[in-house]
Order: sequence, then structure tokens, then C-alpha cells
Amino acid sequence: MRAETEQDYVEFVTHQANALCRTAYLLCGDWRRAEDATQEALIRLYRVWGRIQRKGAVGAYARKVVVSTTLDALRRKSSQEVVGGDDYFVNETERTDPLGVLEDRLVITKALAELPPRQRACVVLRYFDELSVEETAAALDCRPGTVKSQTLRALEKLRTHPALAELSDLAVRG
Amino acid sequence: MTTELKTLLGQAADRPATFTPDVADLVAAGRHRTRVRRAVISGATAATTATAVIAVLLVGHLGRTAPQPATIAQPKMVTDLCAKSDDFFRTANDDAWRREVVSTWTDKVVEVTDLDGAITVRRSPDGSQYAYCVAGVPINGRPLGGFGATLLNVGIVTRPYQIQRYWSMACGDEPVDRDDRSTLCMGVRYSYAGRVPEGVTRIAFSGLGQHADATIKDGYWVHRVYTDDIRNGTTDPIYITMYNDSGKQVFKERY
Repeated sequence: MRAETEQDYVEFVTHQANALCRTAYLLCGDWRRAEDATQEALIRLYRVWGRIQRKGAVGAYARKVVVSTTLDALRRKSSQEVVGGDDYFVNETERTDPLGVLEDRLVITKALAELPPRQRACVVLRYFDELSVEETAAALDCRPGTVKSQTLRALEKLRTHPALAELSDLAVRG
Repeated sequence: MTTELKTLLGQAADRPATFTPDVADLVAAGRHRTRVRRAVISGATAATTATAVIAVLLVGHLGRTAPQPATIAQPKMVTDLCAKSDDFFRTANDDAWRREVVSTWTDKVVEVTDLDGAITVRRSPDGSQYAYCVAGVPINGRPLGGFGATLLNVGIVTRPYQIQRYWSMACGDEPVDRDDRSTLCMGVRYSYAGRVPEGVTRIAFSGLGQHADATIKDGYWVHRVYTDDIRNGTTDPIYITMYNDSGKQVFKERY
């Protein structure tokens, strides 16, 4: 890779790594796994950087690689490790946070954990990364119709989730 | 709902520490992966090319039209076919070492010839290495080897007990017109070569209704067996039996 091209890569990593890591966290629910997946994705991105940069779709491709790397890691986990119920989606306790924020985090991460990976990815990409249906489909390597149906099912499940429903009630009252 | 969901997701993904990976490490890892991938792709490409070449050779070998029998006499002698087989190297197997064998390894250790061709064991100019060379007389107006040449196979004899076998299309000992494209030859000529193991004084061939001894000279042996139908080998297979100087059988194997 040429020096100036590599410098572009370095700048991209410097500015986008944290955002990609946050997406990965919402997909897997664990910061350490999210950081690992993000690093792996960035290494994979390096190999194709020149080609992707010429196409002008670096951000979209990076997000696609992060999503696939994170979901792949979850799949590997299911076959290699014994995962125990609620501990699967571990949320780090940060005692300095306000109690309300902490509760909200627990609620949403638990609700996300109960979604199938593809539905979870649709929710995260559509409502956290604010991607369009087409961009989400490109990131997940599927058709826009699939994104719509998966998102719809995910939202239905989230609406009926007891903890989230309670939170919504509180939010309405507040 | 979706607005609230976005807020919740944003809160859930917030944390005091920012993820800042070591970019130098990432670049180093990326470079390493790129190098490894290139090496793997190069290897795979080489393997694919080799497979394709083998496939082309096989197709060329199997796809030849069978020649028709004729009554015109064949050449009386087959003289140094390997040395005349330059076309083979240019088209199918242009290998510097093989060209060197054909052009400079002129010291023939042992050779048998017949109307279908020859097998030779040749010694390197410095006397340290030996190679076998199978050559064939053209059939149906076309040279054997699949790519317009008379040389069929060549390789080095390295192991003490190596037995090299190569089969090729043949017309047999009956006189036929090899230039006649209507000539029909369905036969197969099996060529064998190897190093004579220590203590062995006689190497006998049996099978395909024939019994004969291999030609031995200077520690190497060669032999050729003909059948008019390759399927005969399944009912009457070729066995190689080796005997020591007291006539005791020390080796017998189907080849």
C-alpha cells in the first residue's frame, strides 16, 4: 500500500474506530468482544483499503465488516463455549453512572440480547447508526425486503418486552 | 417508540473511555495478512495451473482418434526418439531440466526399443544421476504425447527400489502404416524402468499372456510389455518378480 493511501487508513481508524466499536457493542453486548471484533474488522479493512477507497464507500464497507465480524464471533462462541443464560449479554456495571441511565442500559441490552442476531443487527443499524433500509441491506448483505421484515419483527418483540414496555410507560408518565 | 429506542441505544453504547486501537499494530497486522494472502493465492494459482495442465494432457491423450490397421511396413529401427522430442518441451512441459536430459544426457545406460518406441535409462554427464525416458513412434499420422512430440515421459530415478511405469498408446508388433489416419490401433505399451536392487540378478515379467525378463545393465533395468487391449490387465495383470543369484525369489509385486 502506498504511503498516502496508508495515511488515509490511519486517519479513518483514528476517527471511526470508536463509532464502529459502539455498533459492535450493541450487537454483542460486551465491550471486550466489541473491541476485538472492531480490531479484527479494521485489520480486514486494511487489506482491501485501496480498492474500497477508490469506490468511495469506505464507511459503508467498514460497517459491513464490523457487523459480519461481530456476528461471526457470536456464532463461533455458540459452538466453542458453554454460554450461560443471562450472562451471555454481559453489561459492565459503572457505579459512577446515574442509576436511571444504568437501568436503561440494562433494559435495552437485555431486550437486544433476546433478539436473533440478524434482527438485532437491523435494529442497531437502522436506529443507532441511522442507516437507510438500503444501506442496512448492503451492510447485512441481504435484500431490502429482508431488512424491513426483520426490523418489523424486532420492533414487535421489543414492544412486547416486559422491561421495555415498563420503561416506555415511565417515559410517557415522566 | 423508535425515537425512544434510538435514545436508549445511544445511552447503552456510551462509556467514559473511548476505543482507540493502536494504529501501528493494526497496520502491521494488515500488512502481514496481505503478505500471507498473496502467498496463499500464489500457491493456489500454481496448483490450479498444474491441475489444468494435467487435465489438458489427459484430454489430449484420451481424445486422439484411434488409427486403422494397414499393411505397410513400419520403420525397421527406432533411433534415439528422446533426443528428437523437442516439440514436447516447447508445448506441454517446457522444463529446463527435461530439456537438459534430452540434449546433454547422451550416455545411455540401458535401452529397449520396439515398433512402438523405446524406454531408456540415461546417465548424467557427471555420472551422478540417472533418468528414464519413454518415447513413442507416431500413430495415425500424429506423434504421441498429446502435443505433437514423440517423447512421452521423462523423470529422474532416485530411490534405490524405484520402479517407474508409464503406459502409452501402441500398435504392437504387427506392421501398420502409422501415417495412415484410418489406421486403427487400440493397443497399449507398458514401459518399465528402475534401479536393480542389491543382490538381484534377474527381473522377470509375467502377465498379459507373456513371460519375459527385463534387460539389465550397469545396475539399471528396463522392459516393455504390449497388449492389444488395456482391459486385459484386469484379468491377467503384470507381475514383476526379482530373483537373487541363487535363483531365490526376493520380490514379487503387481505393477
